[in-house]
Amino acid sequence: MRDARSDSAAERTALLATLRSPPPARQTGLPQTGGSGAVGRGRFLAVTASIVALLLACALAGLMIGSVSIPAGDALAIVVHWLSGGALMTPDWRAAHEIIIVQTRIPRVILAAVVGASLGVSGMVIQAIVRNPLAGPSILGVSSGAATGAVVVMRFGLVVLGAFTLHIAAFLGGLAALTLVFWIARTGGQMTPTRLVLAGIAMSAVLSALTSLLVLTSPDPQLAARVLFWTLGGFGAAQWKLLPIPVIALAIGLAMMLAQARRLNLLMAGDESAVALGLDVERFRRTMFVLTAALTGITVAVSGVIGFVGLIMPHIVRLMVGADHRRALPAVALAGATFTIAADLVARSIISPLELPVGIVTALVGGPFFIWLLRRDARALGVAK
Amino acid sequence: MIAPGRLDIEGVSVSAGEAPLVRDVSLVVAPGEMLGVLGPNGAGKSSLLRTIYRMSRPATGRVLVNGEDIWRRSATWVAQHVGAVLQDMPADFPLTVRDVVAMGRSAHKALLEPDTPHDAALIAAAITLQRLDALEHRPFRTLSGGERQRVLLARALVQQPQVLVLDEPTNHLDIRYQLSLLRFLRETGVTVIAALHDLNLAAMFCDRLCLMEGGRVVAQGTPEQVLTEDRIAEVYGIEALIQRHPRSGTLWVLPA
Amino acid sequence: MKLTLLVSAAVTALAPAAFAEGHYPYTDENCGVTTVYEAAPDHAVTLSNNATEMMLALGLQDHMAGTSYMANLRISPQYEAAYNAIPILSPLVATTEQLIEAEADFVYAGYPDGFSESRHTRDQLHDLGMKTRLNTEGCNLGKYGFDELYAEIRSVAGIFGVPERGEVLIRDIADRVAAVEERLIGADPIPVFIYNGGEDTPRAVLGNTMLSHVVDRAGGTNILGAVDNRYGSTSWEQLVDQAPEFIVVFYSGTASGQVVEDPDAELGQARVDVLKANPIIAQVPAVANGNHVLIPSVIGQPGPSSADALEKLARAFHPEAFAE
Repeated sequence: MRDARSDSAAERTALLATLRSPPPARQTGLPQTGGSGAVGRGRFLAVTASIVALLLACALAGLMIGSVSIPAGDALAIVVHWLSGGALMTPDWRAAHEIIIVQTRIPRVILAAVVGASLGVSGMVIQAIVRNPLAGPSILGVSSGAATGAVVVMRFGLVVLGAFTLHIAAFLGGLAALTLVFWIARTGGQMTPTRLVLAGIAMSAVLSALTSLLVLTSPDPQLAARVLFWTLGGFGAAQWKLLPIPVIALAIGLAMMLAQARRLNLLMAGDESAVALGLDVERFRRTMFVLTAALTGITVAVSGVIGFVGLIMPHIVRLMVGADHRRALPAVALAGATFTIAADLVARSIISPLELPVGIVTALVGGPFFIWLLRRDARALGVAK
Repeated sequence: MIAPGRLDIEGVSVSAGEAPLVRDVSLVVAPGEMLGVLGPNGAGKSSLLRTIYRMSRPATGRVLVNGEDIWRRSATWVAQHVGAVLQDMPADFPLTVRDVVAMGRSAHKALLEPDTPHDAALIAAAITLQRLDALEHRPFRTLSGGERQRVLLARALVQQPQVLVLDEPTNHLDIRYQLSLLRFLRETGVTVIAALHDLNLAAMFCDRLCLMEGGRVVAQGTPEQVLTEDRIAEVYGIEALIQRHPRSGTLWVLPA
Repeated sequence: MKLTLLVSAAVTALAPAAFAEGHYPYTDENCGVTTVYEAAPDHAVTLSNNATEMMLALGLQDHMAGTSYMANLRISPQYEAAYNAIPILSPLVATTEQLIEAEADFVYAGYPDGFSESRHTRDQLHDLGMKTRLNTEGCNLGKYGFDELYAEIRSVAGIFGVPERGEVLIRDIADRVAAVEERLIGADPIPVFIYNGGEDTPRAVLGNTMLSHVVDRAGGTNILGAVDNRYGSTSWEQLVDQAPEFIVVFYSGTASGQVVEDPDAELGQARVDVLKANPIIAQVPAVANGNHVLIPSVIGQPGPSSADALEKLARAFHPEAFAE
C-alpha cells in the first residue's frame, strides 16, 4: 500500500525535493483540459462525445418536426442541400417546404442552441460567483430586468432605436437591474454572496409585480399577448437576422469565461481561501457578474425568460464531468444547447397545434431527471449527506 | 518552498469599525524559522494572520515578505510567496480532493496556461506526503475534519510558498496527526507562522513564540522566555507549573 | 412630395368608389404598419373567425388559401358553403410554418393575439413575403363601434380592389342597425353585465370593445361600460351592487382539434351553469329571472356578423318591441 511506503524517509525526502523544484526551463506542456479529478480524461471525452451526438440528434429532429409535416426524406435532402450551399441534391421538393426548413426551423434550432448554451454557461458562472448552487441567471434580477425593459418599451410605444429597440431595452434593463442589485448588496464595502442572492430575489419580485401592473393598467390590446412571450419565453420569433448578436455574444462570453476558468475554481474555495490563493476576489466577482449579466440580458432579449436551464444544467453537468470549470464550462454549453433544443421540440409538438411555453417544458423535464441524478450520486458515495 | 522566506511585520494595527483587533504588532520571522502565535480566544491571532496573506489591509504599519511590502505587490505575487492553511472551506460543490489541491497552482499559472507535467508532479507529491492517495478522487465534502485539514495543507504546499501561515491547524486532528503535522512543517524547512492553542506542542516544535493578548504582543522570544508561570497566570488566568519534558527536554506546562 | 401623398390619401378616403381604374397601388395604414399593395392578394389566410367572416362577406373566397382559429365554433350559416371550400389550417392561430406552406401572401388577424413574438410578428411575416393586417379593434385605444367597423370594411375592400362591395356590405349593416334602432325608440335601456367566464372572479367585457358598443345599441347599458379598457376582472359583489337585468354570456372556442357539435349548448351553457350555481348572485335580477343571452366570439368580435349580434341582443332585451 502506498501509505506504508511513503513512511520511508527516503521517499519523503524525494517528495519534498519535488515540492521544492522550480518548473523546468522548457515546458512541453500537455495541454490538459483540467485535473484528472474523479473523472478520468478518457471518461470526460466519452461524456463530451455523447453530449455532442445527442445535440446533433436533437438538432436534426428539430429540423424534421414541426407544425407542418414534411416527409423525412425531403427534410434531410433540404438540409444537405442547404449545408452544401446548393451543390448537393437537386430540388424536387416543394419550395414552401424549403422555406419552412431554411427560414424558420434552422434559425429556430440555432437560436435554441445558442440560448441554451448561454444560459447554461451563465448559470454555472453565477453559481461559482455567489458560491451557491441554488443560484441561476434569474436569481440576480437580470431576467426580470430584461423583461421589464422590454415591457416598458412596448407599453409606452418607444421606438428610439429602430427594429432592435426592444432587444436593446431588454439588455439595458437587465444590466440596470444588476447594478441595482449590486448597490443593494454592498454592505460596509464588502459584497457577500448571501446578500447578493437576497437582493436579487427581492429585485425579481418587485420587477415582476411592476411588469404585471404595467400590463394590467394598459388599454393597449396587443400588450398582453406580447408580454406573455417575454415572461414565458419562446423561440417563435427566430429569424436569421436575429441570430448574429446572440451567437457573437455567446462566442465572446464563453471564450472569456473559459479563460478565467481557473479563477472560477478558486472562488469555490471560499473568499478567504481565494484571496490566499492569489485572487482579487472583489474585482473578479464584479467582472464576472457584468459578463454573465450581459450574456443573460442578450439571451432574454431574444427569447424571453426561460427558467431552469441556467439553474439545473450546471448541476447535472458537474455530476457528470466534475466541478473543474475548465471541463465543466464547455460541457455545460453543449448540454444546455442540447436540452433547450429538445425542450423546444417537445414544447411545439407534444400537444400540437397548441404550443407549450418552453419554460414549462424545461421545468417538467429537467426537475425529475435532476432528482434521479442526485439520488444516484448519494448512493454511489454511500453517504446520505 | 523553493527557498524559505523572511517575514517582517512592522507596527501593524487592524480594527473592525471602532473595535481594535490588532494593536501595533511588530514581529520578525527569520527564514526557515517556525514561530508559534499563542494567546486566548479573542487575542487577535487570526486577525494578525489575515494581514499576512493579504486578506485584510492593516490600518497602520506594513507586512513585508522578503523585504517587499505585500500591498505594493499584486495578490498573485503574494500567493506565489505566501501559503495559508485556514480553518475551513465551504463544501457545496462536488470538488474532488485533487481538484482542491490543484487550486494551489493557480498563482503560478498565467491566464491561459494549461497544466504541465511539473504541476502534476507537484500535486502528486503533495497528495502522497499528506497520505491522501486513497482519497484523491473522493469529493472533498465527504471527508472528515482532519482529512480536510490535510487536503488544505497539501494545497498550500503546491503553492510552493516561502512563508506558510497556519491558523489553528491542529484543531480537527487527533494527537497522532497533530504531531505528524508539526513534525512535517519542520521537515519542509519553510518559514512558518502558526496560531496554536496547545502551549506544549508550541513549545515542542516552534523555534520562537509570540504571546498575544487584547490585540497586543505581550511577549516574544524563545519558549523559555515567553512561557513563565507569571505570564501564563496573567494572560490565561490559570495557575501553572513549568517543567521540562523528561524525554525531549522541551518546556512543558502543567496546569496546577 | 409629402403634400401630394396627403392629398391623394385624403381623396382615396373620401371617394373610394370613384377609383375602379388606377386603384392600385393601394396604401394601407394599419396599426402603425404601412403596406403598399400592387394588386389584390390571392393567397390570403385569416387568423380568426371574425376575419374569416369579413373576407367571406366581401365575397373574397377565391382570394383565400386558408382559414384558422375558428376554435371549434360554427361559422355563420350564410358563409358556411364558402367556408367549407377553403382549407382549414388550424383550429388555433396558424403557425408560421403553416402560413408558409399555404404560400400565404396576405395574413389577416381579427384579434390581437394573432401577431405576437411567440407566434409570429408582422415584421417576421413581412420578411417572409407576406403582407399583414390587424383588425383595428386590436390596436384601438378608446371606444370601438360600427363606424370603426365600417372603416375596417372599407380598408379590407380597398386592399382587394373591391371598394364597391365594401359599400354594399356597409349599407346592408347600416340598414339593419337603423331598423333595430327604430324599433327601440322609446325603450328604456336596461342594465347589462357582459360575462366572459370565470368562477372565483368573473371576467368582464369592458367599455372599449365592439361587443360593449353593440349592447348599447341594442337597448342595453354595459354596467362596466365606463371602464376605459377592453377586458378585465371584477367581483361578484359588483354584480350584486349594480343588479343587471340581463347577462350577456360571451364565450370563445376551445383549443382541441375536435369540432363541437353545438357550441352554444356545450361551451356557452357551461358558463351559464357557473352563474346559476353561484349563491352570491342568486338574487341578481338577471340570474333570478334566467335572463341570459349567449354570444359566441364569431358574432361578438367586430365583423360583418356584429349586426347578427345586435339583432339577437335587441330581441332578447326588448322582446316587446319586436312582437309582430
